[in-house]
Order: sequence, then C-alpha cells, then structure tokens
Amino acid sequence: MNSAILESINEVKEGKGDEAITSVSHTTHLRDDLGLDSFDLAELTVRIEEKTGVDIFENGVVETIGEIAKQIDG
Amino acid sequence: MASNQKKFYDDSSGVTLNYDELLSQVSNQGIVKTAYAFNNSLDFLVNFIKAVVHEIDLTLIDPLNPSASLNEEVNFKSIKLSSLEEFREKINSSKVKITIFTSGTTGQPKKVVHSMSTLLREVRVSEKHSDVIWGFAYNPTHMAGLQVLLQAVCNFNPLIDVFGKGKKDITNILRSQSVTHISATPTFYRLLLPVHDPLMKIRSVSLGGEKSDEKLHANIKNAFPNARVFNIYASTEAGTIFSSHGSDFKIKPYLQSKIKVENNELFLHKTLTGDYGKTDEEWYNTGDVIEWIDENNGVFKFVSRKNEMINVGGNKVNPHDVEEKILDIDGIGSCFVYGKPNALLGNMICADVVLTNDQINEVDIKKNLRGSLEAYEIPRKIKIVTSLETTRTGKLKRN
Repeated sequence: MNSAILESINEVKEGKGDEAITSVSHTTHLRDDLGLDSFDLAELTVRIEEKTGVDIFENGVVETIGEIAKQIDG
Repeated sequence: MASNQKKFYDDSSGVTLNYDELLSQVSNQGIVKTAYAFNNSLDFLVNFIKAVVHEIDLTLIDPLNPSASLNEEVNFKSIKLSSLEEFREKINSSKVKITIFTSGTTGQPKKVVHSMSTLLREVRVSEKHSDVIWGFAYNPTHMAGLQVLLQAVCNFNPLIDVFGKGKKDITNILRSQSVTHISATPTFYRLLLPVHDPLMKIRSVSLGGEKSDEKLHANIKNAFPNARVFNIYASTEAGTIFSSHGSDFKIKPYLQSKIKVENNELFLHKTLTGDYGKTDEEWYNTGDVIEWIDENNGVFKFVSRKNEMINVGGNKVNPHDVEEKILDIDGIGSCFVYGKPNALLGNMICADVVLTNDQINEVDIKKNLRGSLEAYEIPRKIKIVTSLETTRTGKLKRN
C-alpha cells in the first residue's frame, strides 16, 4: 500500500495530539476505526493530494483505507 | 535656515528635493501627466502636487492595476507663488478631482473620485507639526499614502521614503534621517520589528489599513518608546474617518449623523465619501464588522472585514482571531491565516508562519492553539515560510 496514506494519517493524528498508528489495512474505516472527523478528513485529502497528486474525494466520499488506495492506484 | 530651504523629499540614495525647488517646479509652466502610474516616488509626488495646485484632474494608477491610458499630458501656465503659505492655500482651495483605486486586497480594484475636501478632512496644520519628519512607508497611489503626503506638505515637513525597502535599510534610514513620525500598515511594522536598538526619536506611530494586535503594540512600544501610538481607520472611499490610541474607536460628534451601524456592519453617509460610481446610494457599506463597547457614547472596536470571514463546514472563522493566537506563541515572528477551498468543508483553515525560533514545528503550534481556539479554528495546514507576501499597499494578501 502507498506509504503516503499512513504517513498522512499520522500527520493528521499528531496534529490533534493523538498517538500515531503503526499499520492500517484495506478494511480500516476512517471514522469508526481511526476516529477521524470531517475536519480531519479534509486535512487528510489535502495531505495525500500534496504527496500523490490525487484528490481522493474527486469521485465522492471515501470511507475506508482500501477506497483511498483504489483512488491513488487508479 | 529659511523655511522654504526645508527638505521636501529624500529617498536616502541621493534623490532629494527642497520646498523651494518644489515651489519653483509647481509655479513655473510645465505639464501634468493626468493618468500617472507610480514608478518613481518623487516624480509621482511632484506631479500630484502640480495637479492639485493647477486644478488638473488626475488619476493615480498602481502599475499592477493598469486601467487607463498613461500618455495623457496637460500643460499648465506659470503662476506666482510667493510663499509656502500661499502654496498651502492653493492646495486647500483646489477644485481638483483625484481618482484612486482600492488596493484590491480581497477582490477587483474599485475606482473612487475624490475632491480635496475628503482628502484634507483629517489633515491637521499647526505650529506643533512644524518640526515633524515623516517616514513615508505607503504606496502613494492609494489613500493612506496621499493622507501622509498631504499632512506633510501642508505642514512643510520632509518625507523620507522607506516604502518597499528592507528591514535593515529602513531602521538605518529612520535613524540617520531623524524621522519623528511613521504611518504604515500593521504588516509593515510586523516585518520591521523587533529592532535591536530602540528608535528614540520617533514621536508618533500610526497604524492603519488592517487589524493590529496586542503583541504588535507591545513590539511597537519597545521599538519606539517615546512614541504615541495611533490606530487609524481610513478607506479608499472616504479617507480617514477615525483614530484612537487603543483598539476602541470613538465616533466624533460631527460624524454622529453620518455614521450608522446595521447588523454590526459600519455604514458611512455619502457626504463622507468620494464618488465610487453609485450616486443613488445614501449610505456606503464599508464591509467592516464592528462590536459596540459603549453604544450610547459611540465607542466601538473593529472585529473583521465581512468578506474575510472564512466558512468552515458552517462555522464562521475570523482569520484575525486565529492570527492573534498564533502570534502569542513564543518563536513566531509573523503569520497569515487563510481559507483554502475544500470539497468537504467549503474551506480549510491554513496558516503561513514565519519563525523567529526554528526549533518549533507545525505540531507544536497546533498543540499550543488547542487550549485557546475551537477545533474548527485551528489551522489544519501550517506552512513554515521565510516571508509573507504583501500587496502593493503593504497589506497582507488575502484571498
């Protein structure tokens, strides 16, 4: 999986004072498992776009890590 | 020294003009360029004064906003000006129309046509102004620069040009030229301060055009310990309207019937403004949001510009509040908060930050802000930069 995803998630989490995580899987849910709210998701999209050039919300809202990976890998 | 031997302009790199030379340029026959783009400050200032004295209508153009022909010239005949007082009287009674443009900080520049009555409304002439030396820190094609120019010229004070110069040059010039008065944007002072040694000769410091904050006022106090500090509220449409020593402004009695507040927005009566193209409008909406401190006595403070509020997922964020909290953090020199369009939230709050201590990073800044700001107000992206971008009028670029 693209390392930009985990890196970006941890930048968002550290920014709000949460512990960094070490791994995610395709089924990891952004809200339910990682506790990301809409502000966090907005930030996450910007950070991933900066690293990969891909707007992960371009084709609608994504909810899981797997959906992000799919957007990035086309 | 005879009074007309007094210096009018000095750019500290060899270009100077005395008042007697100015008087001779203005009174001997010559030309006025009627649509003048600012390129050389002295030429620009002299052209402006010629236009005023000879009542030749003039458009002042910032070269970055070219919107009129630049080649028009009008000849004028020689006139007799036997003293500086006579010269000042010519300025005061001039029927000239001066067209200026808004700086376009938040949108397209707008055109406003002024008569001398609005431009001179807050100009004060008295004996106590006779030994003032101005640090000229504004772009002269805009309202604030014209106000300083007229204040200086009507008191025959020197203008020492520091507009667009670097920090080190400016402090050197202020010292070597014994400047006593400065009027500039908060951004100008933020980029200038702190200074290594206080400038003791500065007696008056004015801030206008943007919101200032307590940290900046503390830095100003340290840098200019002998100065009285004024906040000035002026606009391209109306010139200078209010000034105060703190963040609270008081509406002067003569302005009471000419100012109204609706939904906390400030409106000015058309008799206070120049012609901005909407002659049927009784009241001009400034777009500035205020908060009453003492409504019965007309005391208020400015909160923000209406169109600067950033909508983040339905929450209104005032970028100035966020900037103030960021500036409270040790190690931050200056900062700029803005909204970045975002599909999910409408806007995401971002900040560009100039550090004075490079040991701190984005995570530290966010951590610091958590106690003092709502979650939606905290910038989600903080970029460490070496300097902030300013507009041609010396304000931070917004939008």
